[in-house]
Amino acid sequence: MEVDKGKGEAEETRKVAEADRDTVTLKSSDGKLFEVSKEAAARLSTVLAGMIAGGSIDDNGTDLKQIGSEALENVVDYCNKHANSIPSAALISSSISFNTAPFKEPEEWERKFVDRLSHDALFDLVEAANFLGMERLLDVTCHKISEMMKGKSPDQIREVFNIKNDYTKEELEEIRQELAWAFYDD
Amino acid sequence: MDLLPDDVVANILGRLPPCSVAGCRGVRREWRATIDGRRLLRADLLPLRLDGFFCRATLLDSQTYFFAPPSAAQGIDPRLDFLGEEGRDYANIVDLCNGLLLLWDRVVNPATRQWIPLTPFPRPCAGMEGFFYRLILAYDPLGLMPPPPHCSVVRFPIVPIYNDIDFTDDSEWPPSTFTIHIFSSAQRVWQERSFVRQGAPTGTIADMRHENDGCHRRAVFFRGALYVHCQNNSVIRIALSDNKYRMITSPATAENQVFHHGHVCLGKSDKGVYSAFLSKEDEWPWCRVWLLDESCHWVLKSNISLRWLAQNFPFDNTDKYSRPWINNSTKHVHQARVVQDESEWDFDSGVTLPDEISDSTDVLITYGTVFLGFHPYKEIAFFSYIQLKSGILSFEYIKGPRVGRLN
Repeated sequence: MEVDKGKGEAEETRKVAEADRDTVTLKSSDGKLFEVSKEAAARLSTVLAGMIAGGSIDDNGTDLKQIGSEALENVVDYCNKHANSIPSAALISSSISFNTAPFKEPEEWERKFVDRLSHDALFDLVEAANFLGMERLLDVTCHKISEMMKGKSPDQIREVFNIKNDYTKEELEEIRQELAWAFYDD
Repeated sequence: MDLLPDDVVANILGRLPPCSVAGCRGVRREWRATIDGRRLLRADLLPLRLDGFFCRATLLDSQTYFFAPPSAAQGIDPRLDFLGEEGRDYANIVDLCNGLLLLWDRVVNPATRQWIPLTPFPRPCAGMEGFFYRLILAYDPLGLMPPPPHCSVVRFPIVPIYNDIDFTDDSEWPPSTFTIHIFSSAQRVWQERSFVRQGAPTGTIADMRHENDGCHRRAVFFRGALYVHCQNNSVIRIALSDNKYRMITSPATAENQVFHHGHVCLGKSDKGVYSAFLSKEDEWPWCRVWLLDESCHWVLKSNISLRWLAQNFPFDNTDKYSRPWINNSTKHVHQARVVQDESEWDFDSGVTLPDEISDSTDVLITYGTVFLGFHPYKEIAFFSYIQLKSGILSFEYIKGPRVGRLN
């Protein structure tokens, strides 16, 4: 789907706000329905903005087959919280002008929002944010995950995130050796 | 987490510091492919973490100093005792690059306690009789050379002040085809290599006839190219892979500023090759820093008075910015291993230099401010500030307008 990522989006957002309904209904992979403000959805998600502008929103629930109900609930929750918090000018501009604004530290409520999530829920949410083109939410969730990884050894990272080690012993030794000459002492 | 799309994994890993990214290559195959494929690990930012730094700036004497938080330095032997008596005789450090040290007869890794000997120096290239030489170390720990990583030592000619040479005073220097000897740790031999100049020369033999204040003229190895601070303050950029070189005018000269008292210093940091100029203005130290952009132009990054720093220097060793550091040289050894601190040095908790400078009447008798070098991957410059009154040698760092203290 073509999504207009440029200045057209603000105009689309205004159009959306003038439309009949001010919410959209989203349907998770397991069939649960969630309502979210059309304005927030269009502002925070490039994919939803595109669907709204393109008229591919289904009043009976727009199918989002890739997103489970728990993740979708978090997405909707995030949109609502975002609509309630007064977004700073920087936030608005970062969600409209793409990839130009540097990452802005999560705000207090955003931090709390991701901190309460389990690992699985966090990974489902990061995937949903990626799928829906929610730049800010992706930023906040990726930031959270990277914070969790900092300072951990490969073994600890695999353990914490339940990642299967697909290296052989020899390969691991080789990777270690690539850095060894200069930096490690046996 | 196994199932996250590649883009998301790259997004997450891209936020990590270099040492963590390097570790993540060992988590699983796809991560390594992502990190390598997208060049998330900045090989040019190595060393992967800064545990300490060697310093060759002339302080109280011309020894090499090693500064590190005590815990981080325990695996490193800056005095090079592991070389034994014979090695110690030659333990004058002539150059440093990304954690390796170059002595007159060998290249040493003080962290792994390994070394490789240099072979005897070759005879001068044809027509180069009468020149002096300096040795420059070029080492890229990750990548640009085939693994295991190898280093090169460049024997770089210095135009002598008095000796007779086969070049007239008005000859361009370096010549349009510049021939030098390079030692490769892979082949363990000196090889003669010729580099052809791209662009204009920046000076003649006569311009180069300056005293060789060796400690101030440094060389930087960055992305396969060697940048050498020449005698007329120009920088020569030697591309080791494609046999070309070009001359870059000093930023101080390029901006047509006349600096009579001060030093131009070359270094490598976060975004590449930097040049610092330390001078005095109204009797106070002043620092300018330029970054070399991709088209080899200097961009002014910082232009700042160090007056506030000089006036407000915290001589109280118990203040919150003070940390114990080791100061090791072959002459002075202070093994102040007091605090166990496993974390990397926190360079961000400095104080901020105010815009306004108060008219303090305090007069500090200073021996002057010395530029020590740049942090390898953060835009921080290290200075030493020597005050006669208290006799304390202290070290400062500056990040943009921030200043903190390493004691």
